[in-house]
Amino acid sequence: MTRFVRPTLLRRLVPAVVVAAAVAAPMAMRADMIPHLRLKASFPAKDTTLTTAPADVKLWLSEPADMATSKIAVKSAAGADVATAKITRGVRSDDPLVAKFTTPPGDGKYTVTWKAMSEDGHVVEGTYGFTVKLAK
Amino acid sequence: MIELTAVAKVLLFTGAAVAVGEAMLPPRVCACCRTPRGRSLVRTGAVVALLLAPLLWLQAQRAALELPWADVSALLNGGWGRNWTKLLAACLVTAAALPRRFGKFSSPVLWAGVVALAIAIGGLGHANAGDFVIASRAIDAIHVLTMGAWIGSLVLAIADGPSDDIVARWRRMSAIATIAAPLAVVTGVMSSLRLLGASTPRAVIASPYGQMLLAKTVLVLCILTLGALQRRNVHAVGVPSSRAVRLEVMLAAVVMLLTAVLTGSEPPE
Repeated sequence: MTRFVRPTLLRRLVPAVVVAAAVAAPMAMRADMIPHLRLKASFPAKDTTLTTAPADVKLWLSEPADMATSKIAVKSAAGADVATAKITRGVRSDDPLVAKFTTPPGDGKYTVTWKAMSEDGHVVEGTYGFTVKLAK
Repeated sequence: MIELTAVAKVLLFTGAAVAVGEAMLPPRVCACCRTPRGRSLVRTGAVVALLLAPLLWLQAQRAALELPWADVSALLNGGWGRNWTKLLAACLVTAAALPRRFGKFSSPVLWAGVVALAIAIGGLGHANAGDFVIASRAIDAIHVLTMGAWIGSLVLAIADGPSDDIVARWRRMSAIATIAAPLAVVTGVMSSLRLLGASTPRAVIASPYGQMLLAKTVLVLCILTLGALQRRNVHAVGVPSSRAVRLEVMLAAVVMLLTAVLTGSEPPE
């Protein structure tokens, strides 16, 4: 009777396993290999009080985000939307996402809500607040 | 609650597995025999799954980004969207070839579809981020193909039911699984090492990602044990225990569900 699996078959897989381990080892040793999309820094920074009206909101992300689908929204303490222009970014991939205010915000507390998609499709979002208290 | 993305991925993985199984374990073609009813039903289910999966995935991504349908072109023109379009094309080719209506071209078209599908799946997951993208996507593609060859051919061997060539069919399935299962395990371990190699074991186990991966590993070991026992049966008496192979398929379904959730979650930092 024909045997479909020869006894040597499993032994032939050993080189494949060795090659796989050789490829996997350097991949496993790189600590920064899988980036996680995170907010590294922002302007205005979280929970800060500004004495001059900010011209824009800037978000520094830990990896490039998809520009077309990224969102930055600013709301006042009363929940009203604060108008911003379309998000832009500099030429470098680590430049911040920038949403310019169409009218600089006055005194009050504001909430920034952002959303961005990483290269592998993960959608990450966050919220933080800042206060504007203009110097008289 | 299971997310829509996970549902889309389960459908995609199931459709891909059946399509690879169909390519590896083609039906007997002769003038006197028809395609078994069970295989026809499984094929139809796979076609529906392959057509639905990309659409559900797009809907889930659009909803996560809170994009109205009018702005969906912004999503499709980005990197994710381009990879999704490739996935859609691969799904369409595979779904069209699965019923084997292209005569002698059916097998080559099906093979082209499943290889494209395996490559496209990697473009929408962890393999597409970070360093070693080409190597990671190649590993992911091999993982999808070998997993499909193993589980897909098992599902089709069960679906074919009794026939006069049942012994030969199970022996062929066993031969496919003997090569595909170890390769699927090796490529799965490689992908996991890439994602978790930089984390401490404690951080891995403490994270939801690590816990799900651990559960998946245990289930895969159970399937491997069952498969090894049934391989002995196939070579001794010609056919495996039907209860054991059904249990294998059920466990594989749970593994696919876990994989769908895993691929949508972030590994520990």
